[in-house]
Amino acid sequence: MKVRWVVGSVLLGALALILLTGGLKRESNGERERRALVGASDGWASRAVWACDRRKLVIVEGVPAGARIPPDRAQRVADLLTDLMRYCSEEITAKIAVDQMITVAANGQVYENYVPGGPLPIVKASTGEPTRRERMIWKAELDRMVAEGNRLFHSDALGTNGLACAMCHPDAANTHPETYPKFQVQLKKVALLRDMVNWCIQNPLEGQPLSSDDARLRALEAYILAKRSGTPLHAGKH
Amino acid sequence: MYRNNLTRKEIERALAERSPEDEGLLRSLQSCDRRHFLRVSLKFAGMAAAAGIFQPHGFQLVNVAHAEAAPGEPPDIAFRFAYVSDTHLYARGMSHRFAKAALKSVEDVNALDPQPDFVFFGGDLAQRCRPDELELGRQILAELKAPLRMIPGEHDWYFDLGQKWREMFGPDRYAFDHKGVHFVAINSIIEKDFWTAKGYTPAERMDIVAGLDDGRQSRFEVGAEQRAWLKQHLATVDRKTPLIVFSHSPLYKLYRPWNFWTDDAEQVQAILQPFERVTVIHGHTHQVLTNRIGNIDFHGLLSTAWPWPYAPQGLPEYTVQMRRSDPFDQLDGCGDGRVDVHTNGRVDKHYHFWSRNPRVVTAEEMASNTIPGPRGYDGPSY
Amino acid sequence: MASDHPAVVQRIASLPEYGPLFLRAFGSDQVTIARVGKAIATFERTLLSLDAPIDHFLAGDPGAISAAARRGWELYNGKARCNSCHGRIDVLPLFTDDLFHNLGVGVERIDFKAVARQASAAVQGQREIDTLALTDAEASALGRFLVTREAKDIAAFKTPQLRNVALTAPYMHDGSEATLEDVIAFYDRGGNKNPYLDGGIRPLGLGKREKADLVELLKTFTSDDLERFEPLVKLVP
Repeated sequence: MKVRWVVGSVLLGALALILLTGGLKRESNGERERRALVGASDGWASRAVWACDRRKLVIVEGVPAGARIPPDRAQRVADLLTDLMRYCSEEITAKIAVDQMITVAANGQVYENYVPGGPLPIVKASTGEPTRRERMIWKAELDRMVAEGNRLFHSDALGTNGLACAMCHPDAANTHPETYPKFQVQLKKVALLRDMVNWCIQNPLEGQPLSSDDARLRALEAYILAKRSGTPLHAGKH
Repeated sequence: MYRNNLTRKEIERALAERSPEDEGLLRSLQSCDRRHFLRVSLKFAGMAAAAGIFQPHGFQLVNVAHAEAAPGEPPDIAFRFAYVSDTHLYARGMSHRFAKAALKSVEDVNALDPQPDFVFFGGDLAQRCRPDELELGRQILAELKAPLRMIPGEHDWYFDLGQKWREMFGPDRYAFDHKGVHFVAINSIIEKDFWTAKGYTPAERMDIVAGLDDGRQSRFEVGAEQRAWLKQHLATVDRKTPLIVFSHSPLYKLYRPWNFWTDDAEQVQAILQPFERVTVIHGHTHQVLTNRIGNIDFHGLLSTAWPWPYAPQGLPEYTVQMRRSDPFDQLDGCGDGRVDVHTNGRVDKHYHFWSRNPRVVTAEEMASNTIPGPRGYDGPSY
Repeated sequence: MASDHPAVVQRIASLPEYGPLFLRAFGSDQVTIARVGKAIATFERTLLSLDAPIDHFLAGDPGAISAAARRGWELYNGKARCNSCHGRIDVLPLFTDDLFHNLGVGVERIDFKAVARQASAAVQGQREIDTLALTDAEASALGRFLVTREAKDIAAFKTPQLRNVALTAPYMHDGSEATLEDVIAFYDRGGNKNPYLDGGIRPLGLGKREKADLVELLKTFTSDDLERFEPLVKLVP
């Protein structure tokens, strides 16, 4: 019995510690400011509950830090966090006061008396920094286009004589996309990268030219630019 | 051996016609009408030939008028062989640009006067190792007048792991002696099995290997078995005998991502190192490429089909790059050439470009490590 | 003139009509080679004819040339590959790259390689180049080679400019192509095969209408203002 009690309390303590340190240790200056906005404390003990994305914070008045929140109030906290997370991905701090009044603060603005289930009185300003999820989505889309360009670049389907771009340009070597626009000797005029890609399809590859809004031409351009990413621009360099 | 295009009779006639007028030969050229011109030029050519300063070779028409300035031919060339390499043929008939280029190369070599002792084919005859591609290559090369020595490239190998090649062209490694030089041909495009585990079909395997930048394939190597053969074979050759090694890949480590690479290069070089004079002639890189490691000189061959760009890193300091090629000109950066072998086993490596001035990397330049750039603009491609 | 500067000056100074003309132009009736040069250059500058329908079309007037010629312009810059050598650059609209290319003109009559060997032996300097190029029908086929002595320049000739090309038949350096249709057909079959054929020349696979469109296009290179030169043409006996 004694062992179980010891283990149990250690576990509880650990849990509390995790919850607490989860709340306190990572609080930065910005986060303190946010608390200040909602006027946390008011003399009351309060504890903080973070959403899993570390962007939504609910401060529960009347519950000391480390103490369990009563079930009905905990439900209200969870519902509020969910509402806020569904609304947007920006940082929002809310406070549930002892009298159950909810104050919401975002972008330095404070809104009083939010009614759960109702419209959030926050005006969405510019998105600012993209979230990690957004970045992943954007990168996945880019990678898809670059992969398609890679496939076309290595394919003999663009021409009629079996040649592929990669045969003269392994790893998009010698494409110099950073030097466009420039006077392209073969075209006898100033060209952009896609003009030269199209010319190469027609001439060394003996294929049909692509129209300038053809998805294949755009994918090829995307692949070439992605491969030479990081090279400084130098328009007109020969 | 006649070192120009005049027959023996014409030379004798020219020499017999030599007279005090010949002092004024140059003056007579200034008032040259057609009849006079032909007679005069024959005389002049005859004189030039007799003086040994007329460049007989089909590739280079030296400016005989400035013969005093040009050194002409070194007197100690023991023999020469021509090369054709990396034809990458598709089986799409003779109107395909690669087939036309391969035939152009054969015509170049056949037009050489005098004929070279033999012709070396540096590998990659076919593009996808299909029997009809190899057969087309065999037919085109069969037009060559001089004897032919072949080695396979990876494009000749990975559809059927060399079965058709060996059937058509014999062993992928061999050796022979020629006028005091010992030649060894090795298969340096061996790759460790990357296809079985992934279940690639032969066609897929070949397409992967065909992609220079396709990282799914293994790196080239000579391999333990072949190194053992090489070592054992070379043990029978005197250290003082000049050695020329035919290889498809460079036999040194230039740029791994493009398989301009031989994984066991150091070990192969160690086997060659004891010999006094070693030259490696290799294909695969489709560009002017010169290197020296220890006592081994390395010279790359031009392709008839297309030029590779230079690798982003790893370029040997001996190499004077060729200028980036013009894609409008489907012959630019392409060509063939020859190797002149001196009596001491050193070589002059000639690059015969189809759309550019020829280049030569002489044995003297290799020894002194001062290799001049090409005549006219030919700046770095990167 | 096949002469030298002092002889030229002497000859012109001996002609009475030039005295007053020099006085009016230069403020002095003294004939010098510099003034002769300036006079000739000034005259040459009046020989520009840059105002052709194609120029109007490219300046933004689609109606300046016919639909056939417009199709021809697409071909010129696309399938027919004309623009890589005969390209029209805005700042220099002469339809030439000022480079030298071997099309194989003359190969059916002349063995380029053999003649090149002979010429290589004979050419000493500018005089010999001029003599051979102008008097020897075979050597003159060698083109740029006579100057550079590079094998790649055998039978390579300078890309001519194409303004008023419809008026300057016959075509090629030796006049071997009689009409514009013949020229298009020549390029369509890929020139004449020879060991030094330019790597940019290849069969084009043009259809009948495409060839006609190209000829229509070339006609639009004729300047609108050629009647300016009629007085000059009349002067030539």
